[in-house]
Amino acid sequence: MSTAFLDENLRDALQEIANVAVGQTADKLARSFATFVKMPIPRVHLLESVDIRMAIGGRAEDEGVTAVTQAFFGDGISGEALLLMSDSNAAELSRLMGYAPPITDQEKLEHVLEISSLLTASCIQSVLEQLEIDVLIGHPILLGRHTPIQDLFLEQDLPWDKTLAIELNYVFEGYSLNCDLILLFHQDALPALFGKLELLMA
Amino acid sequence: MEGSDFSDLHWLLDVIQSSNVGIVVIDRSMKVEVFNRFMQAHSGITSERAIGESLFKLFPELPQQWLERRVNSVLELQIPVYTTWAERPWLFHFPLRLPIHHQIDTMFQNVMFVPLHNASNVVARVGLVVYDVTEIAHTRRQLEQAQVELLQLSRTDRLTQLWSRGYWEERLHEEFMRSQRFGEPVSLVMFDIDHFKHINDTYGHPVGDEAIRLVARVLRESSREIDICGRYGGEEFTAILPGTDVAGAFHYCERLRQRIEESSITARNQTVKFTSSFGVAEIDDETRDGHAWLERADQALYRAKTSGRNQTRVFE
Repeated sequence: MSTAFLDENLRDALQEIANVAVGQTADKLARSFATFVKMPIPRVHLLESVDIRMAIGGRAEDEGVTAVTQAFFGDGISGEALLLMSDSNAAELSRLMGYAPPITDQEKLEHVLEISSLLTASCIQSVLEQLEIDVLIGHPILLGRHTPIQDLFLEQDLPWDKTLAIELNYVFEGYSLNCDLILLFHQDALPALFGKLELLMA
Repeated sequence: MEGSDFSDLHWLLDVIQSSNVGIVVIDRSMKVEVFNRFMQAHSGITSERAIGESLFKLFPELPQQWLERRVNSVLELQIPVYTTWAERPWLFHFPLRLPIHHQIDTMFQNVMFVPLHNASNVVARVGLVVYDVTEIAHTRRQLEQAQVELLQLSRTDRLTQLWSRGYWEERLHEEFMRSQRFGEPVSLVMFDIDHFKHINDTYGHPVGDEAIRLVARVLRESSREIDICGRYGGEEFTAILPGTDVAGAFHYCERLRQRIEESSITARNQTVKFTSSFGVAEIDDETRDGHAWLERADQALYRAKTSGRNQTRVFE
């Protein structure tokens, strides 16, 4: 789908939608866990499949991460959200969520999946609601645990050229904890997505 | 639902009833309002009994705090929340009593918690959708089991059950690195069966294999749990002896050599006896790496061979 082209206006509109989604998600997180969430400025851009590693980069190559994906579908628009959290953050996460130590390995996994579910669903729902799309969200899939970043996508060559990515980096005040959430839209969904945006802007 | 006739509601409700997923609706106080046929069939609880009752009364095994936390998230944040079998194999304990697939005795579940809006768009109820993912979970576990077995298989020599050459060499380099860190003595033994070609040529390959298996057995019986014993090639064997200096390793070799000499195998009603030769090298300051270490043990073995076989030589 080479017809999908992200011009200035579309990008601005998406940026605005992403900003709102970030705000709503931060508000929900703050209500769930008594912490102030620093609102990240989302980055909206078209990614080549080879750039995906760059997008999830900014981390040490061999650092172990837990990665969770969740698919979403609605009105011909589909994609996947990818959440990444460093394993070294696991104890902080449990503390943030109010669980008292000692915490078993299985519980740590539960906590990552719990926050992943909250962040992802809240963010996807907000973005697509603003686009007036009824969304269905799939179950989380654990992509990897204690996995070095560079191994995450090694087994598969990603078959697409371009995808639209909305990247969010969440930082929690008072905790040495940060996690990345990336919403990726499938390239075949881009014409429908841009169509929706144009309707909104009209 | 055009015309919104009440008779139409009937078949709509039938969809909920007959779906092959569990559907439960609860209110803020965790009291059940909808309990579909899937839930009834697997729990043995009738919907008459379920409706109006607390979920925790019906299912005392439910993790109360965990569940309330998720339900509250849904009510509070008005977003769907998901849990998967990877974090918790099941929420509702549903035994599966299957005569053929008997090895799977409990249903694995993914559960979706969804906010339910009423006519004035207020969320006062939560829907639990329970998916049966037993097959996926079971397949995944079998796959993981197969990977473990495959790894074990690739590390083990078929004939002798000793470590295969490839895996043994990995361990060789690990042990070398370890010795550099901790400075404990560690020795390497390399040995082979004397005139093995003669055994093969005279009695045939099956007898040769028998000789190799015998040596492997004696090697295992003479070694400690921490020794790393491998089959290096045809009739060549290796052992890494952690915490053992060259004197200790020499004793180990001599004991092993004598036991092999005293053993025998039977072929064509004949007793076949054979001997073996040993080379030993302890890591010292001049041993550069694992390769060099192995090379030294090999040189010692060569000297044992050229000095008349059936003996142990130490690298000097």
